[in-house]
Amino acid sequence: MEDTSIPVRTLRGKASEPIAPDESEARVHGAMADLDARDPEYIRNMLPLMWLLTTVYFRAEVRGMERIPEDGPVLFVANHSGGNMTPDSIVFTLAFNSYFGVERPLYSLAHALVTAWPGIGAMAKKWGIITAGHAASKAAFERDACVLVYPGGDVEVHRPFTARHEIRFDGRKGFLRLAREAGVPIVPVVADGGHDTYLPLTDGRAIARALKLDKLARLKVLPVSLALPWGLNIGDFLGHLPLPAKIRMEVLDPIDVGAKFGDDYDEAYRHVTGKMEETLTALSAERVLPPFL
Amino acid sequence: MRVSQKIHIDREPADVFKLIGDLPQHPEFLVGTVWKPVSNQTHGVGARYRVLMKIGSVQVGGIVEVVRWEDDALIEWSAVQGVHQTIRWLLSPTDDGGTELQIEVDYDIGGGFIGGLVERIAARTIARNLWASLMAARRLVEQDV
Repeated sequence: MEDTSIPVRTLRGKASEPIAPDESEARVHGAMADLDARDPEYIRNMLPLMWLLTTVYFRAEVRGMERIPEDGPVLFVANHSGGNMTPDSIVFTLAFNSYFGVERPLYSLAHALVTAWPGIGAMAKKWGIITAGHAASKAAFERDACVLVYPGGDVEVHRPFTARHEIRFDGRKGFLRLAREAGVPIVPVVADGGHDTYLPLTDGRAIARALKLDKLARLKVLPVSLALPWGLNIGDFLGHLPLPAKIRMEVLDPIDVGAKFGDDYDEAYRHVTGKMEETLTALSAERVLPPFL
Repeated sequence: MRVSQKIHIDREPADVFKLIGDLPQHPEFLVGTVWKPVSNQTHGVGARYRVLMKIGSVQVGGIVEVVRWEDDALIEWSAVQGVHQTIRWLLSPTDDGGTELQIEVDYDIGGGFIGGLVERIAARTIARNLWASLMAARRLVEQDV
């Protein structure tokens, strides 16, 4: 995975060609990462609807936005929950755009199946959602844009309910290498509550492995859950109606990976996930039964 | 959408403007609001500040710049980033030798019908914060002289 497909220095402030993601993801039609597809005016007009959703339905709380550097590129490293309807993404996207304004670009990295999904993919691209890949991320940093990554991907977002208080990045350290190579600070973002929006029973990793879903569509899990309106929900491919769980989110202090850890990515990984786990534990301690409060 | 509040202060406009015109000190009396300079210039036309107010689940705002400055009478801000907004401090002398201090906030968040609905919901929080800020400003001015 090298960013040999893009002339990065030509991207700043100019229209650019869509960027091929990792080779394995490029197999999915429509999965090119197009930085110019982000539409600030579209985002501005959609923010009030998102505000209603997050404020009235999820009663979200977001803390620590003042810890984000005032300008320049940032790599947000976040956990996420709630299956394919992850409310964490909605809450953070709203919080960032409301705090800094839609003029400060934020790109969210997503699985190729999201950006390639008919209809949904086009809408996602207007929000600045791009297919995950180092080349696209570095191109975004070249534009002084911020990037949001969920290292845990499908493994984390579909983890079983019993693991809802875990940061599950599955040992993936690519985000650390990306931050160090680009010279961009990491800002961890921790969210709690997303896994109370449905009942994930199992992530189905063994089934996904048996069906070779990883090679076919880069899917490492085949989750099984109880969710509205389906009842038994296998795969969560069509999403579901999330229950109105309360979402609590906290932004942590920036981390300079290169300065603090050099190329010791194992130590950096332990530090970042450890800090996030501590915060997630504290956030989840605020929750009382029933889980929707 | 416009939200406006005003209050009477038993001091002359020049005394009130000592507080209102001291922009870096605004966090002392602005209630429910984050207010911090983002430019080296902190006074007069051209000074830029980040202004944010907690509305529901998130902090909403952006960067505003001073576009009009009249000593003892008016300071006006216009948005350069974030929510489209204009903020105005207006000072008027009253017959009893005091000052009518008024703050106006005009804002437009877009979003059509739903945006209009959210603007109305937000107006209640903004109005309460502005009124509390005016009372805090009056307390500071009347205690200070």
